[in-house]
Amino acid sequence: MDVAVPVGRLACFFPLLQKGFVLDVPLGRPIRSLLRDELGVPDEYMEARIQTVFLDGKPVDNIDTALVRDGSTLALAPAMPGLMGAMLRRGGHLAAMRSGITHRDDTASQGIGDGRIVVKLFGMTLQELGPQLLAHGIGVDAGDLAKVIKGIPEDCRDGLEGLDALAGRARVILRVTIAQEEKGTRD
Amino acid sequence: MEKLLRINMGAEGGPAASAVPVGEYAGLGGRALTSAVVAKEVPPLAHPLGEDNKLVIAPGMLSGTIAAMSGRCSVGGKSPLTGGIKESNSGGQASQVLARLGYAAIILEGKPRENDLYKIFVNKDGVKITIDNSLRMLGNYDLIEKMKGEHGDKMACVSIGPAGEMKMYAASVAFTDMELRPTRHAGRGGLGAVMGSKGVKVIVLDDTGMSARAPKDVDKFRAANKAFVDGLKKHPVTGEGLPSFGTNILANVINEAGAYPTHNFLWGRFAGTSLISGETEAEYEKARGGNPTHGCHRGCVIRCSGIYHDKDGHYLTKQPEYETVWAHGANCGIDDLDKIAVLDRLDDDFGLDTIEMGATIGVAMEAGLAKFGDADAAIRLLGEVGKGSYLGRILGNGAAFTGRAFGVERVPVVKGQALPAYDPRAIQGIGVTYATSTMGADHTAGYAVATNILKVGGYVDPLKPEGQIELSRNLQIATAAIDSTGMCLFIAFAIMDQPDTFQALLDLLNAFYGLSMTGDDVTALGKKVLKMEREFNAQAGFTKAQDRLPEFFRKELLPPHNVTFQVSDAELDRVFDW
Repeated sequence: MDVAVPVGRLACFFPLLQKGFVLDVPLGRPIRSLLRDELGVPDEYMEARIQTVFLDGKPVDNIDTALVRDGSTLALAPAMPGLMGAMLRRGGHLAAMRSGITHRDDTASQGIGDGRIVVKLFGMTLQELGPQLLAHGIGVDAGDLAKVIKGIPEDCRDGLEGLDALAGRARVILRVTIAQEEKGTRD
Repeated sequence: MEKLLRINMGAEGGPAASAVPVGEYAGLGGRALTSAVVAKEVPPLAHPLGEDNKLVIAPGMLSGTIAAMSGRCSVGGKSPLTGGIKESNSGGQASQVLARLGYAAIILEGKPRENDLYKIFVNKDGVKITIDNSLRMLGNYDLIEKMKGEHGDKMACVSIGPAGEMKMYAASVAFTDMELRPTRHAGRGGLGAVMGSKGVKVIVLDDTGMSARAPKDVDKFRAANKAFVDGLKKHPVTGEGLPSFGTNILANVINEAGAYPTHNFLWGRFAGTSLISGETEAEYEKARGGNPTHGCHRGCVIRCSGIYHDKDGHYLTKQPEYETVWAHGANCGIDDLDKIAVLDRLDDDFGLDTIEMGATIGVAMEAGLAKFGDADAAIRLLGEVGKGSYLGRILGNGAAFTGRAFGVERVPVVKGQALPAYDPRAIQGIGVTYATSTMGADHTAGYAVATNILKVGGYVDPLKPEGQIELSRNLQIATAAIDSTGMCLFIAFAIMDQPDTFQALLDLLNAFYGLSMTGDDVTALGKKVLKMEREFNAQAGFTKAQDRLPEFFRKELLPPHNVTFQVSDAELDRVFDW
């Protein structure tokens, strides 16, 4: 499903990014190179802004050695507040306090070829990475997408398929771009 | 803040107020002052609702100045909930107003002989204590409206709701915010019941005619404040994340970590988290005319608070915080933000600790009084508390009391106080703090600055599990110190990451008081406070048996990581070895 919405309506799709969307990716890649080479996320952004990373629910300290495998869930967030935020932070001083669930690198189970992962975005990464990922195209649950479309005002649904078209489908590839302004409205 | 306002509610002839010099408590503020007074003046074996307990309300060392973030107020006493020493703190306006009036603390002492309810009014001209039984059983919102009618809107109020009047052990002390709503609370430990036992319904503070407290070195103070504010604004947590989404930004992350206690600490993940996350909450607020970026006191530059409107765009409550959304949300299986907001409003109005009440309702659901996920049932249960029915009186006394009444085994409390919103099986380090804190299960006791900034105990390898005891110890020390300054703890992330911002905080203190404090002095203050608190608790009958988590944390695996709490008792007993 390809849709174009006003820039102010992009946030309507952010709940899908929070809940998790599917991406087809090459396996056995470290998180950093996956984000940079497959999704165009610059290194500088990763260093400065992606301070909390989970792989299959485990906090990651080193995004150069943590490898994604088929079916992985990768969650990205900025620095989080408080003691808990500090504990979960990538390579943080307080990492020992969550050592029981810290991600441990395991090259044996990475797999080869292409696979499918779930990606979640939290906090400011929604605004900062969400638009480019929506433009790239993401796999989402059809039921979740139907709920999101229902929440969008009627006058902003141009280009969206009827809700009926989603019935019976488990997954939809959604691509969302920013609508061009109508030429007539400038005169 | 050169004086203490002592108010003896049991004096011969009626309550009597006297302003006395701070004396031996000079230089102390916030938690350092409340704990010093309680440790020295309250017999550890006193009944928390008796005449020998005291309620100490103390601004921080920098409250009442123009320093940013300096508006926290500490409330201390012997806790009815834990039976030990308690300091609970709150935002709102009262701290700054009380400090500008020149008081380092208000100390409520004694106990009235009759069953009357009192209003206390404090301004630059003195103190008036009047009986006002028309205030009886008013919710905090109606109470404050009445006070506005009597005193105008240039005041700050400290009050209790019906829960405090009924001396329930989950009762909070409410503080009005910048909009003069009773939305900020010193929630933990039942200190609202202590205020109720003193017969005080509301303290009205009016600093008209008073000025901000003046520093010893004005230029250095201004420069330090600027550096401090710049540091807070440039940090991604204090400058972006918290103002944009509030504390509930943590929900998705803690859930992802498998540490989000769900259905009374049965699981570590909640399926409905994205529906109640900070990101979703902020969108609701923006769409309905609320505000996700709001300070709870003047001078707050982080602005993590917010204003929550209902579906029709009318004010409902302040933006429910992370702990509240968890307690009434995932812990009870509820994924409806609007219902959670109603529960938050009721907690504020009745004057209840939202963490304790959320945990209590979770235990009640475990007991079969309601189904997990039934938000309307949760609202009815909270309504029983406000009414003071027999069921309400059980629930209003907290999770431990409710668990005993209904024969529930999985009761998440330490020292009688309910655990906050992080499961210690997934994050073992927070479990160390929950177990050993002088305050009972408390997520804020071990906040703040990393070992490597304070240079206490040497460098700790962050990847070694053995470091957790030392880290918890050092964090508890640092927090005790910061709680004494009156600064909001959310400065912690910025001062941990940015040594120049931590230095700016020290410079603020030094410039104000004409001192030369260092990080080591901050540490020494924190240790002193913790030592006083530990000694009080020991004399109150606490042993190392109280420094433990409930048994189920060691036995029940927590999905999704299927972990149990692994830190040994021997290691827990080392936390306070220094």
